[in-house]
Amino acid sequence: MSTRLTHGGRRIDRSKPVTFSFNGKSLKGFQGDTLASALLANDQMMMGRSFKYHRPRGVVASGAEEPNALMNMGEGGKFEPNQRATTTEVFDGLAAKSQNHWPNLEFDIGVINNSFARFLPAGFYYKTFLFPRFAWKHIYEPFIRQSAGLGQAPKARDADTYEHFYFFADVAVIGGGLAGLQAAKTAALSGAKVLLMEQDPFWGGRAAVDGGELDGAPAAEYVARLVAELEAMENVTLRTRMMGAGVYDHGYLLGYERLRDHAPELEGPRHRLWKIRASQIITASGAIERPLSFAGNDIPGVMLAGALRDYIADYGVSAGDRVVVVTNNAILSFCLGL
Amino acid sequence: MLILECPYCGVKGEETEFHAGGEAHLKRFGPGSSDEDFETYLFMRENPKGVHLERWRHANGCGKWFHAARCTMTLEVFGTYSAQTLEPPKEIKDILTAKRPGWSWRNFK
Repeated sequence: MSTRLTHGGRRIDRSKPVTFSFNGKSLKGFQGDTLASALLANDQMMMGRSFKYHRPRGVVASGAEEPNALMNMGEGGKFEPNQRATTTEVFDGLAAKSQNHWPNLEFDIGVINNSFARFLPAGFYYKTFLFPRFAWKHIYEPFIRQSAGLGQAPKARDADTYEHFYFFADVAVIGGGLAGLQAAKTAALSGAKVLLMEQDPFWGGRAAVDGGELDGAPAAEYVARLVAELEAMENVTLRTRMMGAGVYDHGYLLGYERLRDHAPELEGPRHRLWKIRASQIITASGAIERPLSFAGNDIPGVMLAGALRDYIADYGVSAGDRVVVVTNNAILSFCLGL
Repeated sequence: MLILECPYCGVKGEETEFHAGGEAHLKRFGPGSSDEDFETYLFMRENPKGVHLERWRHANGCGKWFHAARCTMTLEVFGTYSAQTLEPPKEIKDILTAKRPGWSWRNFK
């Protein structure tokens, strides 16, 4: 059973509760929560069903690498399918629905595919539905179209606006962790025009959780000091909630900024595409943990050790009361320190 | 996306401002030429891995055709020069020799 811990969670503000809905059920979270952490806090480990066999799926990661917890988000003109619960910040009134099941997440007819898995090999589809001829149009195709795809296609016209933007920099730094902040500072001190982007709403990555001292200050304090220094420099542009979306030839870089996915009440465009030319591009994007492969590693409740740690340290959410930790990296020491 | 400099108006622009026009320094064989010459003119291309001489047009600018020396592997642009010439000028050749010793392209070295 996953629960909210009584203390901890450096990214959440416990004095600001928010109410959101998941599959029509009203749930509570805190400001700073991601949808995934808020669902886990409400003991909702199962967040979707797999594409073909409709097997139950739970959240695996805590960041942009999440493959399972994909949601139908919003309603009407604000509807969008396949949004990751781990990168969606919770706000008052957020409406999320899990995908690829009927009639509901817990009880799903489509899971019958799983029993016939050995009769549904790759390439099954187009080899099997040829005869009788009339059946394609009236039986097979409507049925296949009904079961195809993960999220629903939006029906209404998009109610939001978007914009794109050109930017020129001497140095563009992707990733606002310690390395990125340091790189940006070094470049900025040399007089270069610097753009620093971070896909999360927070600077410093996992440095504060990793702990340790930098320049005689705790990591979190050091990060805050670095950010303040950078903010004071005129030749530095800082952007959170902006992802480096692609690095191309001759210093061409795309940035994808999410301006008000977390706060729909704000005015202005929803996303901004930055078309950036930089003389130098530094990717300080950090690393994503590699999942271990073993039988049953896809059932809800199995997650990356790093994600387990993030949910505890960042959101004060315990992923389970009884936990087995298997890792091949330094995250183990954090888990042992619990 | 490449950045090219138009040798006529001196503007540096992104690839979208230009239009690629295939291989440079082709000699045209029209009506009355031998089949072999015409075939060579029409189909035979260098398509190299490395140094390449190309035609580009400053489509969203001065509109003029020019030539560019470029590496198809690293996408480095060595330089651009006028299209009113039968071979790359000496400065371009010098740059190529400095950066890609032993380069050759069709008859040029």
